[in-house]
Amino acid sequence: MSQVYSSLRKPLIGGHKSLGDVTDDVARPLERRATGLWWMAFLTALTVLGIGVIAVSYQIYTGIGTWGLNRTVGWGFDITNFVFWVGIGHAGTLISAILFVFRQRWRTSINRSAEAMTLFAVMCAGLFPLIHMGRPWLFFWIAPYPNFRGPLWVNFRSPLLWDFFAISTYFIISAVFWYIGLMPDMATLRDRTQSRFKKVIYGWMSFGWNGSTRTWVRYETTYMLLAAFATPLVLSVHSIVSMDFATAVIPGWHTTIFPPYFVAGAVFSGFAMVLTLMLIARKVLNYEEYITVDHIEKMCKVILATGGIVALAYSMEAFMAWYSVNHYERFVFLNRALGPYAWAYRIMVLCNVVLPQLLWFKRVRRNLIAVFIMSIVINIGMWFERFVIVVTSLHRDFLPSSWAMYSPTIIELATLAGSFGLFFTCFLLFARLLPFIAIGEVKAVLNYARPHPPSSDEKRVPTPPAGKGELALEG
Amino acid sequence: MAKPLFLGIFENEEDVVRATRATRERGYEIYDVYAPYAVHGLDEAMGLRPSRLTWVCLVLAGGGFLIATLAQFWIGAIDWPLNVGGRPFNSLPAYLPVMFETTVLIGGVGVTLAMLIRARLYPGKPARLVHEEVTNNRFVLAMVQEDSSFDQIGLKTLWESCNAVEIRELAEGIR
Amino acid sequence: MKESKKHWKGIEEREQTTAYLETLESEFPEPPPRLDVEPGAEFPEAAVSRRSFLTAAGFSIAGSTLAGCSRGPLEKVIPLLNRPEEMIPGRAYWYSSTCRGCTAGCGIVTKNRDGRPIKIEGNPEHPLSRGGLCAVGQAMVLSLYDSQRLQDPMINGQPGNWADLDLAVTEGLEALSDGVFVLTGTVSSPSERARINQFLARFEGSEHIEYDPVSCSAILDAHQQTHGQRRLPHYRFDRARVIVSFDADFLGTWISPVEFTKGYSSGRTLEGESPQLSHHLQLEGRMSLTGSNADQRIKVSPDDLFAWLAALTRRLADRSGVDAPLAGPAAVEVDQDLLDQMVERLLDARGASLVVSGVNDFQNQLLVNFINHLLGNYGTTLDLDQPSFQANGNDRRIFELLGRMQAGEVKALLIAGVNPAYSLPYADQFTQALESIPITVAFAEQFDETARVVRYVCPLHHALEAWGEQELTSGVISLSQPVLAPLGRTRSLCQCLSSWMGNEPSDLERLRSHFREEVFPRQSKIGDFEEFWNQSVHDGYARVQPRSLAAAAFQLDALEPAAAATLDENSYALVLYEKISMRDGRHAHNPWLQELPDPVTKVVWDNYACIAPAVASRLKLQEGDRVRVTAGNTSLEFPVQIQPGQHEKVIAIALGYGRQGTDRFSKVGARWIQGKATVLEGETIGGNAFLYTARQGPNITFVNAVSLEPTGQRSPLALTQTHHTVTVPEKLGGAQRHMVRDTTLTAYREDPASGNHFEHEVLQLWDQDYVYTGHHWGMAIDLNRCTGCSACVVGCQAENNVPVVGKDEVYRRRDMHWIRIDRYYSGDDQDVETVHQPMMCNHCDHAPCEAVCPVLATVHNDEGINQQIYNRCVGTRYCANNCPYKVRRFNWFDYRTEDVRENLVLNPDITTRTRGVMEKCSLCIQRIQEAKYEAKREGREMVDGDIKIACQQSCPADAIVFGDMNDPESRITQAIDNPRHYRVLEEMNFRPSIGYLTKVRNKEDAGEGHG
Repeated sequence: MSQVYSSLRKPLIGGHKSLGDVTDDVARPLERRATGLWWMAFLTALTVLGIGVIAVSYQIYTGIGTWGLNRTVGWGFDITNFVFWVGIGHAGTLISAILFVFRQRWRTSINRSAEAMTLFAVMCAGLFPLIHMGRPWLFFWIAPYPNFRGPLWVNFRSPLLWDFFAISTYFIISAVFWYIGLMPDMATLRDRTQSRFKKVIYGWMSFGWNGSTRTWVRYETTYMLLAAFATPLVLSVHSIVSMDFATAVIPGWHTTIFPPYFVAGAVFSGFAMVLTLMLIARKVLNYEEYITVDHIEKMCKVILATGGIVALAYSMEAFMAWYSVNHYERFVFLNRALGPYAWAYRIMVLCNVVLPQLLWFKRVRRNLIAVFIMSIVINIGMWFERFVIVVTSLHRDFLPSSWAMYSPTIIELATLAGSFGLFFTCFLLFARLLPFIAIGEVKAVLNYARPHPPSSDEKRVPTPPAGKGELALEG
Repeated sequence: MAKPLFLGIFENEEDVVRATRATRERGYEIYDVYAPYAVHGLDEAMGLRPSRLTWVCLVLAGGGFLIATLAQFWIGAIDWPLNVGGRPFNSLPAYLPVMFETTVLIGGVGVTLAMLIRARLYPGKPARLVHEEVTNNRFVLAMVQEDSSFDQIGLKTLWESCNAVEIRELAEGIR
Repeated sequence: MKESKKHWKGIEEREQTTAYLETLESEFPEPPPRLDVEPGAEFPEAAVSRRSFLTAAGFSIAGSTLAGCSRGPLEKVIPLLNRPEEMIPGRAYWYSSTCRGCTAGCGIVTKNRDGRPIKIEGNPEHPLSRGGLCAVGQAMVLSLYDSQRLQDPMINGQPGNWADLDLAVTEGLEALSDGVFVLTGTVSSPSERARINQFLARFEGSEHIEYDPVSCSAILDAHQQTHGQRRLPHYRFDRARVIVSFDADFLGTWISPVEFTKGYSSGRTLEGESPQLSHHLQLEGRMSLTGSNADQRIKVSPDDLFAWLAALTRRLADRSGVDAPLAGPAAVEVDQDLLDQMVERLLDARGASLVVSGVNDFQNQLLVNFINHLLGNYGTTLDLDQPSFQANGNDRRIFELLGRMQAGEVKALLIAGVNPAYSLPYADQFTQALESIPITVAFAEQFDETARVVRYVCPLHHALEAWGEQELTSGVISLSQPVLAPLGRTRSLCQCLSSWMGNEPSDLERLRSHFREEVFPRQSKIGDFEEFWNQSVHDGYARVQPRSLAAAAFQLDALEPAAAATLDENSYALVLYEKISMRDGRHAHNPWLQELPDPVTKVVWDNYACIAPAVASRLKLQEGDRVRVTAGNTSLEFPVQIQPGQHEKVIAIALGYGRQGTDRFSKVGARWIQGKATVLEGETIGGNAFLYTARQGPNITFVNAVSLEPTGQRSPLALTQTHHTVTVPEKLGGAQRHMVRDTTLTAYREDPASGNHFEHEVLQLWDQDYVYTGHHWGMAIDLNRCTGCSACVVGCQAENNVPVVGKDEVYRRRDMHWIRIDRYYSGDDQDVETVHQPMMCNHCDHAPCEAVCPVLATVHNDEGINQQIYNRCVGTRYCANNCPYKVRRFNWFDYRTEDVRENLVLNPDITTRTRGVMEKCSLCIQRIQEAKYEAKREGREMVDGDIKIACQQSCPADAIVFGDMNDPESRITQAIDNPRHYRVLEEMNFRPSIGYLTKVRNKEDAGEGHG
C-alpha cells in the first residue's frame, strides 16, 4: 500500500533520509563518546540531586516539621510539586498514546523521548506523597494487602488511596508501553554494534527480536491496545489527582470543574516541558531533521489550545464562586486575587493566560528562542497554579481564628530542586544510553509524502526549506 | 530442526509487499517476511489472520474490573464495616476510581505478557536473523524449501521483477 | 583452728576503712535511689527503683486504708514489699486538698495513680470554689515534678544539709535578742500564724510582715479607715445584680477569681422560668479578661478612673441626700449619660449591687467603700462580718521593713514563700540592705532571686507534699494533705521554725492539735474529734462557726477629700497587670503556664507592651516591634502587642516575667536548622515589669507614667490566633461569618432564639444515616457563661498528655492544645465587644476528616466519637487539611521531654504520641470508658453526669455540658432543645456533636451583634 502523495504535504522527516540513515543518525550519539557538554549537564544535575537527597534525608531523620507547614496549612510544597510533576508526565502519554490513537504520525519522532520524560516525571511525582508522610517508613500501609492484624484494610473512599492506585498504574503502564516501543530498536542496535558487551546487553533487552512480520502484527495489536488503555488512563490520573482537592470540603478545593481543568493544565504544562527538552535535544544531538520546526509549531498549537481551556477554567471557577452566592467560596477567590498570596496568583495568570497568547502568531510559534522562553514561562506559571490552589485555599478557610500563613523552609526548596535534579539526571542518562528517537516508527513514516521511496544508494536531494506550506494535521 | 529457507532480500516496503502478494498468488505459502519496522499491508499480503490478543485483553480487563469491584465491596461492607464519616459501608461511587485503575492495570500488563508469550519473546532469547541488515534497512521474504515441486527459478525471476537486491538460501531455518 | 574463718565482702570491710564503718551505720551502703535523677538519665532504671516506687506507693495505700475511703490522710509511710488488698495498681485514688497556686485557696482533689499525683481537679464540695479550678491550679501538678526545684538546703550559695543549716541558724539566732523579722506572703492559716508568732515571741520588737507582691492592701487600709478594722470583705458576686468594676480583673486574677467566676456565672443564668442576668459594667484602661466579658465596657485611662469614681460618688450622694466631703469638681469631665445610666442601674439594685476597684490606691478604695455604703451593699454583696483572709498583705509595713533594714535595725530576716528581691518596688535597695543583715534565710521552692541573695536557703515542700490549713473566709477552713512523699529533702516553714525552737512536732501533730483546740470547738455537728478530723481531711475543708467579727459601722467623716491626679500630654499611663498564667511570677518555671495562650492577647511565652491601635498607627508600630518603655530610671524593652479596645493613653505590661533561671526553657520544643530557641541561654523570658512598681502614699502602685519610644528592632510574638474578628477583611468582601452568635437581653426576652436565626437547607448525599443505638455523646458550650479563663486548656493538657512545643513552634502556628479558645472582637478598634469560643474536635457525624484518611486511622465509633488511632496514622495530614474547624494537631517533631522526673506527670491512661502522628480531642474517651466500667461494676445503667470530661470538670463557670444525646432526660439534650443552641457551620451538614449556646449581653439596645 503506497503513501498518498500530495504537493500540499511535505515530508515529516527532512533531509531525504534513507532507512539506513535513520539507523545511523539515531545510533550515532550512542556510539560516540560523551561530549563535555553532556558531562557538564550530567554532573550539574547529579549535584542538584545530591542536594535534594541530603534535604530529604535530613527531613526524614529530624521530622516533617523541617517543612514550613503548620496546623492550618498541612500541605505546601510537597503536594504542589506532586501535582506539578504528574502534570508534566501527561504530555508524554498524550503524545505516545492519544496521538497514536488519532493516527497523528508526526508523533513518531518525539514520542520516545516524551515517554521517557513521562516516566521520570512520574518518578519525581511519586516521591512527594511518599516523603510528605509524617512516618514515611510506613508508606506500605497505604496498600490493601492481606494481613494477620485482624481485619485491617485501607480506606477506599480516600482520594489519597485513589492516587496510590492511579499513580502506580500510570507508572507501570507507561513503563510497559515505553519498553514495548523500545524492543525493536534494541534489536536494531544489537545488530549493528561492534562492542561485544553492548551486544549482550542489547540482545538481552531486545527479547530476541528478529523482525518477523508475524510478531510485528501481534506487536502492533498490543501497542494499539496499550495506547487505547493509556488514553483514558492519562485522563483518569489527573482527574483523580484533582479529586484530592475536589472531594475535600475546603472552599477553593471543593470544585466540580477540577478534573477537566487539571487534565488540560497537565497537558499544557507537559507540552511546555516537552518543548523545553526537545529544543535542547534537537540542537545538541542534531536531530533538526527529525524534530523539525513543524513539530515545534504543532506542539505550540496544542499548548495554545490547552492554555485556552485552562484560562476558561480559571474564569469559570471565579464565575461560579460569584454565582453560587456561597460567601466562603467568594472569599477564597477574592483572597487569591487580593489577599496575602496575590503575588502568586498574579504570576499564575500572567504566565498561563496572558503570555501564551503570543502563540497565536506564527512568527512566535516558529521562533525557537521565543518558544523556548515561552515553555519555561508556562512551566513556572503552572507550578504557581498548583501552589495557589493548595496553599491559598488552606491558609484561610472557614474559621478566621485559625487563619495562618505558609512559607517554605530551605529544606523544602532543596527538595524541590532535588526533584529537578532527579528528573534531569534520569533524562540525560536516557539520552546517552537509549535511542532518543523511535527508529522503527520513524522508518515507518519515512516515505510519508515522498514521490519515490528512497534507497541507500539513491542520490541525496536537499531538504525543502522549512516554513514553506502548512502541514495538515492528519497523516 | 527447521527446514532450509529460500530468501528474497528487498530494499523498500513497496517492493517486498508487491513480491509477497505476487508469490502468494502463485499459490505459495509464505513462510514469513522480516522487516525493520511494521510494514502496513504486509499482513494481508501474507494472508495472516488478525491477532486474537484483543480478546485476551478483553477477558483480562474484565477480570480486573470484577476483582476490584468485589474486593472493595467485600472489604467495605462485609469484612470490615466501619462508620467512616457516616458514609454507607458500600460507598460504590467512591470505589469507581480503583475499579478503573485495576481494570487498566491488569488488562494492559496482561495483554503485553500474552503477546510476549505468544510471540515467544523473552529476555535474553538468542536472536536468529535471516539477514544481518533485517533490523536496519532490508526486507526479507522467506519461503520454506518444500520438496522438488518448489520452483526456485520461477520465484527468483518473480522476485527480481520486484527488484529484489539479492536472493539467497539459508541452509537451516531460524525456528 | 584458732579462729573461725573470716568472710569479707570487699576490700573496705577487710581493711575496716572509716568510710566503710560509716556506711555500716546506715541501712543501705548507699542512699536508696530517688526520683530526682538528672534529666536525660534512663527511666525507669535509674530514675525510680522498685523501692522508691513502692515508698511512694505506700502513701496512697496508707491513705486509702486510714479513712476507710479513697480519700484519707497520709500519715504512715510503709515501704511495703507486697501489695495490700486495698491498693489496686492502675486504679486512681483521689485525695482532697487545697490549691496553693495563689492565696485564694481553692479546694482541689488530686488524682493519684500508683502512688503519684497525675492530675488536680476542683473539689466539687468545696464551699468557695465549688469544683472550679483555674489554669494555674490545674498546672500545679507539673510544678510538683519540676526537676529544678530545690532539693537540699543551701548555705552561702553552696548546697548543704539540714544539720549544718539548723546549727548555723540556731546559733545565729541564739545570739540575738531582737530585730528578727519574718516576711511572708498572705498567711491565711491561723496555726501557721500562731507558729510564726511563737517563734518571734522570743525576740524583742520582732515582727511578722505579710506582703502580697500584687497587693490589694489599699482595700484593707480603706476599711481600716471606714470600718475600724483592717479587713478584706468577702465579695459575693453571686448576690450582685449590678456589678460595677473599676479595673478589677475579678474573673481573671483578682483576689479569688475562681470563686468569683462561680458566683458571677451563677448570677447569669438564663435557664429557668425568669432569666436573671446580672449587669456587669467595667471601667478600665487595658483590655482585661473581665472587661472582655462585661456587658458594657467603658475605656477609662487610670488617671481618669478616680474622676469617674468621684463623679459617681457625688451623684450617688446627691441622690441619697448625703453630702460627700469631696474635693471640688473633678478635673476630668466624664460622660454624663453613661454616668446617669450607671447611677440608675445601681440605685435600682440597692443592696444587690457591687462596686469593686482593683486599683491599689487608698483614696480610690475609700470612695468605693463609700459608694457601697450608700448602696447598702455591706452585709449583702460585701461581707465584712465574715471577712475573707485570702489577701492580708500590708504595703505600709513592707516599706517600714525596708526602712528598718536600711537603718540597720534588722538583725535576722526570714523570707518565706515570697520573692521580694524580684517583686518588691525598689528591689535593688532591698537586696543592698539585705547584705548588711547577719542572718538572712529564704524559704523557697525554686532557687529564685531572693534565694540567690540570702545566706541560708531552706527548700520548701510543694503544696502537694505538705500538711496545712487555711481559714479562707471566716468559718471556712480548707485543709491541705500531702499526696506523696517529699521528692526532695524539703521541709515546710513551720517544720523549720519548730526545729529552730528546739521542739520537733510534725506538721500533722501540730495541725491536729490546732484542730482539736481551735477548730473542733467551733462546730457542734460531730462530737468525736477523730471523726471530725477524718471527715475534714476527707472533705478537704471544714465549715465551722465564723468568729464573731462584727465590723464597726461606716464612718462618713473618715472620707478624705482628694482630687484626681492627671497625666501630662506626651506620656502614657503604664498599667501593670497579672496574667492568669504567670500571676505574680511564681509560676514562671511551669511550661504549661508559659505556653498557655493569654485569654485576651493569645500570646505565649512572653510579656509585651499592649498599646492601642491608634498609638500603633501614630508611631507606625507593627505587632512585635520593640519599644523602650521608660519610667524614671527604669527603662526596659518590650515587643508591642496591638490591643483593640485599649485606651489611647494606656500601655499595659504583664507582671511575672523576666524571672531568673527561665532560660532553662532554652531547650524546650524542637531543635533543627531553622528552629529558634524559646529563650537564649542566660536570658529570661520576658522582662520584669515589677521594676515599674513604686510607692504611692502608703501603697504599692501598679500604675506609672512612662514614655514610649520605638527602637526599630523586632522580636515577633508567638500568637495562637492572628485574625481577630469573624468578619473577613473589608478588601476581601467584608462578609460576616457566624461562628459565634450573640444577642441582647431585650432581644432575648422577646425571642429566646434571637441572633440564632439562620435558614439553610442541608443537602444529603445518601439516603439513610448511621444510626446510634446506644450512647451518642455530645457536648454543648454556653458562650454566655464561658469567660475564656482557659482553665480547660490546661485541664485538657494535663489529662491528655499534650506536649509543650516551645515559642518557635507556636510562632509557626503549631500549638498542640486539643482545646483552644477562639477570641473574636466585634465593633471598631475604639469600642470592642468580645466573645470567647472554646473550640475542640466537633466529632462530626459526617466527619470530613474520616473519609479522606487512606489508612482508616480516624473513624467513628458506635457512640458517635471521632476516634484517632495513633499507631495506625501515617501522617498524611489530609484529615487536618479537610477539617473545617482546624482542630487537629500534628506532631511535627518528637515533642516528648527528656526530663525523667517531669514525665512522672504523664497520665498512664493516655498514649504519648510520637512524631509524625495526628492527634486531637478524644472527648476524654478514657474517662467515658472508666465511667462505663464503674457502672458495670456496680451493675447499673449509666446515668447522666456519670462522666465529667477534663475540660468540663475544670470549668469554673460551668459553661460546658457533656452527655448522651440519646438520653431524653440528659442535660445535653435539654441544652440542644434550648432555642439558643446552634452548631458551628451547621449549614455544611457536617453534623457536629458539639453545640454552642448564643451569648446574651445585658444591654438595652437591640444590637444584632454577630447574629
